[in-house]
Amino acid sequence: MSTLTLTRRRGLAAAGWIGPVVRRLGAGLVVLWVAATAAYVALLLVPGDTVDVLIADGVDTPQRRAQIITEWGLDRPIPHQYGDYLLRLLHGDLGRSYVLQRDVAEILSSQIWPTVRLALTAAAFGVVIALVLALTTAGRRSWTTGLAGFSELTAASIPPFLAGLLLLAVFSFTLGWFPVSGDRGFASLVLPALALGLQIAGALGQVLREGLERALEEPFAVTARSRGITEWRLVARHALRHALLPAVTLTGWFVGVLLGGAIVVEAVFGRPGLGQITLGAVTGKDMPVVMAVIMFAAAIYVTVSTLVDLAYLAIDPRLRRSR
Amino acid sequence: MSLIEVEDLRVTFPKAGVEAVRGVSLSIAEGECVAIVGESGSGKSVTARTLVGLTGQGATVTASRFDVRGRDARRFGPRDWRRLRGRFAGLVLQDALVSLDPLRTVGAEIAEVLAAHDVVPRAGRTEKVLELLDAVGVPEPELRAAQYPHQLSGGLRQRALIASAIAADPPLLIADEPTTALDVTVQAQILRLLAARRAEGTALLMISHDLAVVSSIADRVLVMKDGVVVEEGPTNRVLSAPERDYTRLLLAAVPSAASRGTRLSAIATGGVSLRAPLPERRIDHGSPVVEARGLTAEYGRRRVVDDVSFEVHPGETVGIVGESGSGKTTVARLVMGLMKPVAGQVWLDGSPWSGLPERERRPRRSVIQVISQNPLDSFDPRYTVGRLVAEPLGGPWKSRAARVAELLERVGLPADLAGRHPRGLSGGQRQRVAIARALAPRPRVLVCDEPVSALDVSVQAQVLDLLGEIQAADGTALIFISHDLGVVHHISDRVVVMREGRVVEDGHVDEVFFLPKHEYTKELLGAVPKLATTL
Repeated sequence: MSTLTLTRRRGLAAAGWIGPVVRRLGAGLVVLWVAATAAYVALLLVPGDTVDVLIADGVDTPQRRAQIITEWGLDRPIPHQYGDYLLRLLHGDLGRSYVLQRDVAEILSSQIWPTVRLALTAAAFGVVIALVLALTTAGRRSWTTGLAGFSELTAASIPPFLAGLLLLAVFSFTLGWFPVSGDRGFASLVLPALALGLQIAGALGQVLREGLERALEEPFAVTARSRGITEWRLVARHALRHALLPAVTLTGWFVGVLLGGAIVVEAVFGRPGLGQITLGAVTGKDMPVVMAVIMFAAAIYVTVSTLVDLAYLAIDPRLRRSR
Repeated sequence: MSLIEVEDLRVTFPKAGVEAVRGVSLSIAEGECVAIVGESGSGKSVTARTLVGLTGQGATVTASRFDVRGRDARRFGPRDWRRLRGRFAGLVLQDALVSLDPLRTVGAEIAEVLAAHDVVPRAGRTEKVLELLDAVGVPEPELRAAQYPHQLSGGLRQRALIASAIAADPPLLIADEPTTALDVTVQAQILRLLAARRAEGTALLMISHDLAVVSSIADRVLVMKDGVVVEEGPTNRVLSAPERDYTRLLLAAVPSAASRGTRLSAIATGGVSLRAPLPERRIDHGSPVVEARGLTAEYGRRRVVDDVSFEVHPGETVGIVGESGSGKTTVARLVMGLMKPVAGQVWLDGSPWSGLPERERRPRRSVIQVISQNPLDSFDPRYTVGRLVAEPLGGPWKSRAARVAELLERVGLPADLAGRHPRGLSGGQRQRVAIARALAPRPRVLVCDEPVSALDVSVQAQVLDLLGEIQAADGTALIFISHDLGVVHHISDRVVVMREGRVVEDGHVDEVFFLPKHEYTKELLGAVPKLATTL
C-alpha cells in the first residue's frame, strides 16, 4: 500500500478495460466495413459504365480498359467483385488512380503528413486557448468572463475560411509576420492552424467554462472548500475533470471540423495535403481516390470515437464496470 | 473561550433579493453540541456555512460581533478563512454521494485535508488516511481508500465524509443534515459516531429539519424560521415545554403513534387548534380491493421481491415499511401492473390484474392511481397544472375545466393555479397537484410511494391530513410505502415490514410496532430516534 493506490489505480482499472476495448474495436471494424460497402455502392450507382467512371479524365486506351476490368474484376458477377474489393482493402490495397497514374495508397501516404501536422497543431492551439480562457475566467463574475465568453462565441461562429482570410489580411499582408502560403517550417503552419483551431477554441472554451462553473456549484465543491484548499486547487483537482466529460463529447464534432476545415484551409493557404487531394479528386471525379478518402475519414472517426469512449472510462470511474 | 461567538448575523443575497439570515446570535462553547432546527428556507444552512466563510458568491454578511476563537472574523480575508476550514471546523454535508467528489477516490479526498494543512508529512499521509477510516468505523480501510464514493454504501460513504471532516482534528464539527439521506439503522450508526466524537471533546453544530434526530444529541437547540431564531434553549426544555407557537406547531406536526386519527397541521377554529380529530374513516372488511398473493419479482437474476402477500380493503391504509433496497417500490410497481411478477398474482376488485395483457388492463387503470416521492419527475414539464390534472379525465377539454377546478379546490389549491407550470410551485403544492391528478379518475386505490419524504415536516403534516380527509370522504384504500416509521404508524391500519424482498412481519400497526416479534422489526424500531415531547 503506497500513496499511489490513493490517487492512481492503473492496475485495478486495467482489469476492467479489456472488455470495453475489445467491444469497441469490434464495433469499429463493423463501421469500417459499412463505409467500404457504402463507397462501393456509390461507385456502382454513378451513372454510366463503371469502367468510364473509374477512368474519369484519365487517358482512355483499350489496354487500360482491359487492365481496369481485370483489376476490379468487372467481368465477373457483382457479389464476386464486391468480395474481391473487400479482400483487396483488407490487404491495404486501395486501388489505383487512373487520373493521376499512381497507386491511391501512395498518393494518400505522401500527402497525409502535412494534413496531420496541420490538424494536430490546430487541435493543440484550440485546446490550449480553450483551457486558458476557461481556467482563468470560470467562476469569477467579472467583465473578463463576459469578454472571454463573447470572444469564444465569435470564434466559434467564424468559419475557418473566413478566419484564414482575416488572419492573412492582418498578419501576412499588413504586418508581414507570417508567410502568405506554402509549407515551409513552423512559421507557415501558424496561421492555417489558427484559422482551423479558433473555431474549436471557441466552442470548447464555452463548454469547458460551463462545465467548470457547474462543477464549482456542486455540493462536493463546498465540501472541498471546507477542507481549506485554495480555489485554484479546487478547479485543477476537482472541477476540471468534471468539465472534461462534456468537452470530450465534443471531440467527434472537433474531428469533423478538422477534416472538413483542412480542405478549405489548405486551399486558402495554398498548402499541400489531403484537402488538396480530396478537392482534386471530387472535382475530377477520380472515384478510386474519393473512395479511399471515405475509408480514411471513416477510419479516423472509428479511432477517435474509440479513444473518446476510453477517455470517458478514464475520467469517470462510475462508467467502469463496478466490481 | 467560546469557539464561535456571533451576534446579529445578517446574510443577504442582494441580486436574488433574499434576506436569508436576519439577525441571528449564536455561540458555541468548546465541546458543546448546539443544534439548529428549521424547515427549508429557514436560513439554517446559510448560517452554518457563513460560520466557515462559505456563504457563497454574491452574499453580503454583516454582524455586530463575529468572533472565531477570539479573533474578529469580520476582518478575515480569503486566506484567513482557508486556514480555518478543515483545521478549525470540519463540515459534513448531506449525502456523501454528492458531497464527495464522485471522480476521486475516497482516500484522495481525505488526503486532501492532510495536504492542505500539512497535518502529516507527505510520506505519512496514506497511513493517516487508513487510520482515519478505521477511526470512523470503516472496515477494510485499504480497500475502501482506493474506492470511489459510488462503490460504497450510504453509511460507509457518510463515514468517509466524516473522516475527511475530522482529518485535521478540528475542535468543531459542523454537520448539515448529516443523516437525512440515510436509512434509519444507518442513521443511528452515524449519530452514534457523531456522539462519540463529541465525547472525545469535539464541539458539534448540528443542522437538521428533524427534531427527533437533534433531540438525541444536542445540549441546546435553536429553532429557526424565515431567517430568525424563533426559540432557543436547552433541548429538553424546548421539546417538552416550547414557548413559541411555531415550535409547538413543528412538534405537533411530527407524526407518531400518538397522533393517529388526529390532524398534524393546525386548523384555525377561533384560535389555533392542534391535533384536532380527523373525520372518521370507515373500513369495509368485506372483499379486499387489492389482493396480492405470493408476489415474486426479479431484475435479471436478482430476486428483489420474494413471496409477498397482503390485502387491502376499501377505506383501509396498509403501510409498507423497509429500508432502501427492501423491495418496497417494486411491490408498488407490481401492484400497479407496471411490472410482471415471475410468480404470484395481484387481484384488483376481485378479478385478476397482474397477469393480463396491457390492452385488457388499460380500461381498468382508473381504479388504481399512484402518488410518488418527487411529483415533478412525473409531470410533463411543458404541461400546465390544469392540463396535468385534466389529462386523466375523459371527454372534451373544455368540459374538463369545471372538474379541474373542483379537484384543485379539493386538495386545497386556488383555482388560478391551473394556468401555472409545476416548476414554479413549492414542494407541497406540487404534491397536492399530484394528488389532484391521482384523484381525477375517481380511483378506489391510491398507491403512495414515499409521498411525503421530500417535504418539510409542516408540509408533510398538511399532505398527510389531506390524504386522511380524502380517505374518509371517498373510502379510498391506501397503500402507503415509506421508510419513516412514524409516518406509517400515524397513517396505517395494518403494516407490512419488508427486508431484502421478503415480508418479515405484518399485522395491525400497533401490534407490530408496539410488540414486534421479528428481530429486524425490533432493530428498525430501536434505531428510530425518539422525540421526547409531551404534545
